[in-house]
Amino acid sequence: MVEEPGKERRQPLILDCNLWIELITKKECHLREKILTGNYSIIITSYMAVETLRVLKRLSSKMNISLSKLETHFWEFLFHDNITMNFKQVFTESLINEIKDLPEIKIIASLLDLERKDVPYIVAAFQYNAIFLTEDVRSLLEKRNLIKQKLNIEILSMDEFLKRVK
Amino acid sequence: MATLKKVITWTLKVDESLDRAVQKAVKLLGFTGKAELTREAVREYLIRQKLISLLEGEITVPLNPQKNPEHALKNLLEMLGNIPDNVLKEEVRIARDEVEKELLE
Repeated sequence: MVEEPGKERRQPLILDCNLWIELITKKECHLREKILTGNYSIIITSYMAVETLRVLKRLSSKMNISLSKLETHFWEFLFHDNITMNFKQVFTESLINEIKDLPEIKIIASLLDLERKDVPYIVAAFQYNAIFLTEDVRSLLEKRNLIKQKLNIEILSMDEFLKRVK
Repeated sequence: MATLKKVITWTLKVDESLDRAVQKAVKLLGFTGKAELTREAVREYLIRQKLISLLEGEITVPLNPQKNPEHALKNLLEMLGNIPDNVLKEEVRIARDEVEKELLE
């Protein structure tokens, strides 16, 4: 668990890529209302940022929106009090290659029968003792009992989380 | 007792036109001086160029108070808020599938 000394303990959260996009695209978003105003710390790592930026790049191209403006607003949004940036790697396309070559990613994916792209989220959830929120039923929610048993990581869907914090 | 951070002094040579532009920006944006604007510009450059990890993930001094995450979110919602749900889901799916494919290559 990584905590800043002297700071009130906030519940760390990890959001999957879908939910990061939901956070910054949905005009009405209960999840955003809860987690940006409550006692939460949403962790974002370099890998998560790269994935989210990839989606923004696709959206900018598809909808003819300025990518530079999107990126600028996204970075500025990350300075929100309830967001914790844990950037240990430079954000380049090669980050995916660096991750790819890490044996621990392959091992964890293999042991837990996960897709490799989900492993960096699981690692961050473990590192921060965070609740992992995801909408990915097939790859993650269906395997959450095993993940809870092996790594003690709690994985919830958005609806489950919102019911809990109601 | 707080430890004072070591300060390094920079000396920069710039041409007259850049100096004039910076002086004007200092007045317009309410910076205390050219040094403050320069520090802020360098921090922003590092973030924009995604080099923040060189700072070990930490900006040592708060960014310009004009930076406003709530305002940034409002801008994002204005720019992205009308995209149909099915398009958003599809683009996320494609982007993540691309990542998975690269990870398996």
